[in-house]
Amino acid sequence: MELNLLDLTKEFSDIKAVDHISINLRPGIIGLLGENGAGKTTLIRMMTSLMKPSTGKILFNDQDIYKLNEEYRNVLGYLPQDFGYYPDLNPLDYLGYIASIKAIQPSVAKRRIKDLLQAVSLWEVRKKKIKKFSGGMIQRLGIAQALLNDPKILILDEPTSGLDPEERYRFRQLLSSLASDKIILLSTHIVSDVEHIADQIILMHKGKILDSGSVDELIQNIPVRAWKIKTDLTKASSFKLNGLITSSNKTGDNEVIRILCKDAPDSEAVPDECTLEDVFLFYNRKKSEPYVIL
Amino acid sequence: MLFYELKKLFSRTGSKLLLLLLGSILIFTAIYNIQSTHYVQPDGTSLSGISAIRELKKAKSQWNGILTEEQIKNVLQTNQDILASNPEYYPGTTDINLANKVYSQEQGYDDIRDMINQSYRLFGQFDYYLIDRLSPNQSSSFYKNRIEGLENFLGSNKELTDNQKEYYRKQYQENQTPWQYTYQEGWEILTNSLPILQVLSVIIISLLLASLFSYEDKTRVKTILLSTCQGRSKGTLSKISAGLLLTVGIYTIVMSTYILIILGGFGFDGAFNPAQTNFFIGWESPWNISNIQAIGIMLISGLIGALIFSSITMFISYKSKSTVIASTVAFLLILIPDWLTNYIPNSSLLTLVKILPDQLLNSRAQLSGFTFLDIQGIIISPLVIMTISYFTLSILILILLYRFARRESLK
Repeated sequence: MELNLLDLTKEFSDIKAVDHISINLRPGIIGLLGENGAGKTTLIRMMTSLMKPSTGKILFNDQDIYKLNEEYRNVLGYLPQDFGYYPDLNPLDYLGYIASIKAIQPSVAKRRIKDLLQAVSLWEVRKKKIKKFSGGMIQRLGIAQALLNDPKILILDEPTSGLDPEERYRFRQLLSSLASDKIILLSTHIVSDVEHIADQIILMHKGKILDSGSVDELIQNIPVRAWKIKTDLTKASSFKLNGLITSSNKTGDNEVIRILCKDAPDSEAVPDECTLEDVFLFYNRKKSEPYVIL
Repeated sequence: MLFYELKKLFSRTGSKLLLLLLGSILIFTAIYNIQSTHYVQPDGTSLSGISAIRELKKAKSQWNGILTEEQIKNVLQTNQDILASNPEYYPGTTDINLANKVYSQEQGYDDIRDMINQSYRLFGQFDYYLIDRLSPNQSSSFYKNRIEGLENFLGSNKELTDNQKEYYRKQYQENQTPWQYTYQEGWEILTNSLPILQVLSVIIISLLLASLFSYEDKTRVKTILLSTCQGRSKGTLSKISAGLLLTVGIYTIVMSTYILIILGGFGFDGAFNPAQTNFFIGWESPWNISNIQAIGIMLISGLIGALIFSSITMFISYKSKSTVIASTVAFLLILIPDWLTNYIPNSSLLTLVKILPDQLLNSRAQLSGFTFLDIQGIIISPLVIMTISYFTLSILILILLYRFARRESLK
């Protein structure tokens, strides 16, 4: 099973939200990482057939998804960034309705709804109106509706927004348990959501793909390394000219700086392990940032 | 899916309030018509409500029968006898007690009095006291006056074509006399009050349906719906079905309930009286139908009116993505055209305004007047044209809506 995006572009007036993107997606968890406005949601909307591309094609098992139509959407589960719900319905009725438009047989739907509500810890409140739910509960309901039809392709746009750390952890566990036979695309700007569970990361910026691969591959591909330096406050500001500061921690007269640059910026700099967040920060740095490499 | 569409709609407080409002209007209208029925007792005091209905029915039923010229003579004689026995009374007297006492004796033949007044005015101004100036010997011209009045009207009318005039003459000649008259208070009240109830019902149905499609945009559920396998197809069909079911269901329930309350209270008598005996359709009506047929026509045309406005509202709700716009457009389309007829001079524009779909909610006006059209020599009622056209149009609108929704994508 594979989903191929071939030279996809989407233009709005004079803005190219998605700019000639080609990706091949296979079963597993794929993290789509990019800052706000990178074009992730637009890309996802094309993949979910909500929006037609200006140019390019999306092929599911070598067939155009716009020709497959309902057949494609039948294997799709989607959680939008701005998840919508009916405030005056309860989760049972809401999922019952979604199940009906996903063409799930009522007897099957009943069982699925119970299993999913239990999996997302909403079974106890199944008869409560959704408008009384917290943000996290609503998000969990959104995840449940995306999984209703046991989709082969699961696309989740900012799925962990509103979830507390424990909920995020449970969510990651849930996804990991599903990943073996599904294409799961997780779009987020929160690095930790994908860092430990994604098999593949796609980095997106201003409509283009900057890089893609495993976390290790992405880290290897950036031309900088992470360094930690403990220095006094007067010297600390000068390091900003040498590289990209990822964190700084002031303690008394000293400051511990974590910096990304090609070579050790100082004789006392100690190498630190690069993370996916460093990759993200590197690619999303402002052009105005003084930077040795560029 | 249909079940969930209805559940979504009625889970909202606004929808429940609209239904409550409609129910209140229905109850209020029924109670108003019952309570505003008066019976004047011989001592000049009035009863109202159920007891008035009971007494009035007794009084009027005494005059049930075939309206032969002999019967008309009987009524005229009775009227003269009452006036003679109350010499202090004169039409327009300020002595209310006296006027009430006289009326208490006359109210039994009040319906026949109206027919006599309409007959002898010869299509002129209506005069409630005309009967007081008629002698029993004049009864023989009761039915002839209708033909004569028509000829006077057609003779002075320059707007009707020869075909239309011939048609009206034919209709009048084919009208079977003498007429059967039975106490028919319930049917008269229905004829008078149904149009306003139809208008209010259709407004509330339209307000209910105004959010049927736009709610998906407001709640942002639309992105999920469009990504599902049946969101565009069966999802849309289920919304349209819900809309149609609500329209037909609510309209039928409201009308049936109202009719049952009114006829249950006033009696079912008079169903087969000719429409010309019904004061609210009128002596001059060229429609050779009975009361029950007239109400049937009003109900059917009202239903078609409800369907066309529902279709338009659903379409606007879908296209505009706004409940407010859908509600406002429906509201204006229902109310504005009829108001405009007060200001538009006789012209083709007026003819056009008079066949807009709001007229389906006021089909009594079509039954009362000389409204038949001459289209290339064929004489046809605008009601027939409107019923067929707007029914067809509502289907086309819904088909178009479905086709748009099937191909929808986000911009």
